[in-house]
Amino acid sequence: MTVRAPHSFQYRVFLPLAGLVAGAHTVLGVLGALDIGTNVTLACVDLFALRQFFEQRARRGAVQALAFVAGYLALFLVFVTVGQAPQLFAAFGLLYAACFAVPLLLGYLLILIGSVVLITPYWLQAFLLLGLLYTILVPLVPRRLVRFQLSAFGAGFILVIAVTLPILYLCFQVTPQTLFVSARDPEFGRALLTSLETASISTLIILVFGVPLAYAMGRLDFRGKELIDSLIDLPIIIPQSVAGIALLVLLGPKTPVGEFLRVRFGLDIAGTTLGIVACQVFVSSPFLIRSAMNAFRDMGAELENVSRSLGASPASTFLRISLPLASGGIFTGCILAWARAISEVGSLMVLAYHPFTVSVYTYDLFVQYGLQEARPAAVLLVIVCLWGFLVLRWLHATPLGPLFAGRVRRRET
Amino acid sequence: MIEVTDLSRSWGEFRLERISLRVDSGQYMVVLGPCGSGKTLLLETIAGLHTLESGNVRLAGEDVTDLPPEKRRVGLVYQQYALFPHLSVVDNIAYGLRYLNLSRTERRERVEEMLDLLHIRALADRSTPIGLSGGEAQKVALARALAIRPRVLLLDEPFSSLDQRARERIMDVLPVIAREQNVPVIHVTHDYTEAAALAHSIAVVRHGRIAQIGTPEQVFRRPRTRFVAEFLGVTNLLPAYPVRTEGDTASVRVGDVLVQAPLPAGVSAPSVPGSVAGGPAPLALCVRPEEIRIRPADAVGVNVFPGKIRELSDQGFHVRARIALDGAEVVAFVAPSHAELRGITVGQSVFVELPRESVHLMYNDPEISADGPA
Repeated sequence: MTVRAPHSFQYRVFLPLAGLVAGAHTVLGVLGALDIGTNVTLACVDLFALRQFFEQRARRGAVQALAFVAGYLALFLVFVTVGQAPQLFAAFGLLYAACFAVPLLLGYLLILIGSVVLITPYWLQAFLLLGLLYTILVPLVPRRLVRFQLSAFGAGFILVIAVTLPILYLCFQVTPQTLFVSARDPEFGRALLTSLETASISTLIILVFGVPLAYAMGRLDFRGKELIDSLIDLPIIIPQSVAGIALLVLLGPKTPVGEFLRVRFGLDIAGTTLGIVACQVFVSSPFLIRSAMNAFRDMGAELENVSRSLGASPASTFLRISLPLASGGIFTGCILAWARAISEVGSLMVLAYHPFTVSVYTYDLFVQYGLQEARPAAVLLVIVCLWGFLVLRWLHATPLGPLFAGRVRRRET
Repeated sequence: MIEVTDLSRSWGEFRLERISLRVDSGQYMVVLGPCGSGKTLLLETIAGLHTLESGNVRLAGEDVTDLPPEKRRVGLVYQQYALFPHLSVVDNIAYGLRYLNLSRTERRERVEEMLDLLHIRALADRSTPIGLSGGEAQKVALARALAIRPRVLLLDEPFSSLDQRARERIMDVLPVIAREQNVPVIHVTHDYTEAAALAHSIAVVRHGRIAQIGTPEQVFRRPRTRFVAEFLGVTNLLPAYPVRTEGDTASVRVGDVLVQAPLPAGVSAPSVPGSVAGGPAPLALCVRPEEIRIRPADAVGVNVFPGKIRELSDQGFHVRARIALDGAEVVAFVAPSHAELRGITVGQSVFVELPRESVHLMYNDPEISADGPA
């Protein structure tokens, strides 16, 4: 060998040490302390770690290199001495040696190790959530944000975890195979279709009547306006079962209104798609109306005043100015109302248990066959809802986007 | 020509009361008033956005009192521009043209004309007004309002959100445009410097009423009430006791000096001996600080008094001097070069002239104007 190695000094020390490690593993193998596969793997990991140690020493100095060794020994302590799991040590040791130089990756690795060691049954969900928190916090740290606000965020994140963890955990409980089987259940397909259909019709109905109401509330001043304002939110306050009972009492088969609708129009409310729509309209209307009201209010009246001074009638002003500018808020309201309609169960169980919507169907599966059967359906429902939500969000980015993205605020000066 | 007669209307506690004003085509009226005086409501009422309780509004001879805003053809411009954010600059300008029975070519020509009139051709290809500077945005808003050839141009604090340079540029073109387009302008503001620079006539409003209406000369130099004087920057409002009247000249005692002042029509100044001894002064004497002159010691003439400089403060473009007279105190604005020339320093004795033509008498009671109780 005539070519000088780039780190000749290191190699002079490294090679004997590497020999030492290899020798030690050979001895371990001869003694029969480890099976041969684990032993070879561990030897490779040790050799890689040794190499990384020299790399650290050359690049970042002795202190960092010593910290690297200390961390490696700690891993050994946790997984081999205490945990009796040399395979895990091999995996994490390898990752540790590879990630040590990049603080961000090292952070993820520590979260992963912490999740596996401390929260073993939920390690994957814990890792995902803590990883998310870590991803958010890391760029914040160098910006010297107010510590109080950071703590506020930390405290609030507990709530995010409380909401996300059950869903995440549920989703990991189901294998793709069972999902696939459930998805091909014709009953489920029918229920899903009913849900999508009724939720869309409900949203459309709320849109047609809610937007004019929201506009009027934003532009008119009248006595009793506060009362109407509170009434809009009534469905949020009333328990869903009560909503169902109230609708049943008004529209049920033996009531005057129900009788009238059947005799006159041949319409049945209880136990029909119509009943489902009635429930969904009832429970999800506040979301769209509120959202649209905020959109009209934020816009202010000046733009409309100018439009009218320029010759546009009130109707023309509404169509050319107010509606386009509020469309973003209205669209958000539609998403919320639609999602709320899909997720409705309580009032449906009273007024229209059949035909099944997918939410009632899942509940029905749970009651009749237990958790095992209901779980895949529940996961499918989560997927459907998220999918719908994402598709609607994605519409913002399409050529149709401007229709939905009218929420342009006036510039503040 | 726009003519508003006896316009009244209430909004809860607030009330516009018997507002009358008239602006001829091409003329520029500034409505001055503090915040909450009802200026914006007045404009919106003229535009037809609020119905009236009484009074009427005539545009170019036509009574429009009962017409909705879209039938009045008025140009309305707000402080915050109120450009339609979802339309391009050109579409903003062309917004009102579709309601005017114009052919496509006529519409395009009208937009072109407005782009040239306000020198905003460079903005013609902007697909949104978002991101325009304040001055640019306000010019687009003006172009949009002028494009429909309005019968009156209503400007609601049009300069309040602009920086000084943009404000000066638009101030230069606005009166020219009003004259060329032959449109009456009503411009609402709380800044009397705008009124001084632009107005052919000024209406000062307070609590929904017109406190004084007249030419800038009248309003600035012969305010009718203490409120108008104070709001328009007359710093010197001195309690005055009438001593005697000779023809159209009244002699009044201010502190211990005797000032001669022209007696405005409608103000009577009977010399009441009792009022000399004490009690509230029946009259107020006002002089704008920029009209007080500092004279050499040997000057003789009417209304020249010895005084002493109490305080000098540099205000950038002028020096503000607080001068003690015998028993009274006045504030004068002196040009820096003039102050240097005279070697004015604090504590120095000077002679001060309150030029007879710049001195103005009014009733001291803020609620009483020269026309009697308001």
